[in-house]
Amino acid sequence: MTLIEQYLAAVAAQLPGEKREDIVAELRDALMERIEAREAELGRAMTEAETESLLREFGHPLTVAARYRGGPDHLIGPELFPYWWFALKAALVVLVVVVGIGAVLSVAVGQASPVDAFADIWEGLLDGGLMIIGLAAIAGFVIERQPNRPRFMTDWKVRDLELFRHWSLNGDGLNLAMGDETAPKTAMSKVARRNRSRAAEALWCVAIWAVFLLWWGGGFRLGGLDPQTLLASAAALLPGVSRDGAMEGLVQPLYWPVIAYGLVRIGLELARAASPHMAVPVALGDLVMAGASAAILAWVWTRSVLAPVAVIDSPEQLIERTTDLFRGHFSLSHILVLILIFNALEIVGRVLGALRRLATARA
Amino acid sequence: MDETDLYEAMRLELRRGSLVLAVLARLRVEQYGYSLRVALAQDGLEMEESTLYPLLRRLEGQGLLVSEWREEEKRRKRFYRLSPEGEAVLVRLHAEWRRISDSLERIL
Repeated sequence: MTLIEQYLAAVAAQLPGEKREDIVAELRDALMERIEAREAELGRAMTEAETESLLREFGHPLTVAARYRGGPDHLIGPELFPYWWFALKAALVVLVVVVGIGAVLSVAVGQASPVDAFADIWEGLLDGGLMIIGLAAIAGFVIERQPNRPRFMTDWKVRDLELFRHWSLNGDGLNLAMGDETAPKTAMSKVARRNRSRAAEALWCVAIWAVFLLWWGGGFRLGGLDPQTLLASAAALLPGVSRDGAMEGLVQPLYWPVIAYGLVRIGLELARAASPHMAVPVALGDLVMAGASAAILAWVWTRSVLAPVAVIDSPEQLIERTTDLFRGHFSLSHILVLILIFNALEIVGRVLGALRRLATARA
Repeated sequence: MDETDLYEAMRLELRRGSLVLAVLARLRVEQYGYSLRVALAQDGLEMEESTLYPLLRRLEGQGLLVSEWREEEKRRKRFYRLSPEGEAVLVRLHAEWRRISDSLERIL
């Protein structure tokens, strides 16, 4: 096989089957023309080294073949790249926060020594970081090859841009997020937040629930612990609650209800995002979800392994213990009671909000 | 990126669009790949084969060129020429080129 045929075979191997023969024939003709012209100049046949040099000038087979390929010849193009880069940086920031919280929790519940937790941080960052970069690359590759630009690139709303103000992911954005008084926030930020479109809020909610369900279902771990062990270990810090008892009497019974709740919530939020102005069905859905939350809360408060710890003997005692808390008399069981009370109040707030929307029929 | 690299990147960007116009204009008369490349080089527009041949395919795929294989000088060659659609596009591109050129001349 001559050098030219070797070269063309390498190009042909990279070309799509239906065009291969035709393209190679044309390239062969182009090469032969060039060689004949060079030989005419030299007045003799070209040496092997000269032919090789000419082929190098012609281009590497991978480059030559790539120019015949249809579609984008890059993983993520310049138009998509700013969105992709922003999403990747945001995901990595969330990862750092989540891994850090996981490590602190695993030390707090006595599951890991500080040294182990520190090692887990690096392991979590490396594993999670590589997974996020890989998934982001796949997502970018797929989006880049769609016939139409996605709606978030073409159909964005100014009132949804508040997110980008807070997530500038540079020094200013970080200062703003950390509440730096010198950063330009205050009234405008509040107005923008109030005006944020319901569709954007719903999509945020979907993203948060999706990540939570992925964690709850064992998709990834925090601080080397699965969520059920972490929750049982945290519950076991309460007086009179063992880790095994918490696992059997709290975590395991909650496993499927939490998944079912999360999936229904995601469905509801997607419906809200698709039709932000369908006030009545969405409000009814919110009422049902508030009812489900209330049922789970009532079960935790009265039937779970936490029930004996979460007893309120009298309103006076509740006020007294809360006051004690502010005086520095730390009581985990009382903190649990307060968390449950705040949850109950939040559910009442959701019910009132849904009833208001039902009454006014406004989303 | 130093000034030379910057200039080179900008020069390539500037050339990219104008090369398509030059190829379309040259193919008002039928040519095969090599003869087209030589003609463009004589016009002062050097073009790598690895750029020219895929460009010809792309323009043909877009319906702006038509091609056929024929034997010439004892070798089969693929001849390209403008399609009627290509001629119409060339007229419009030429007008646009003149407009840009006039504007730039006034500015420069």
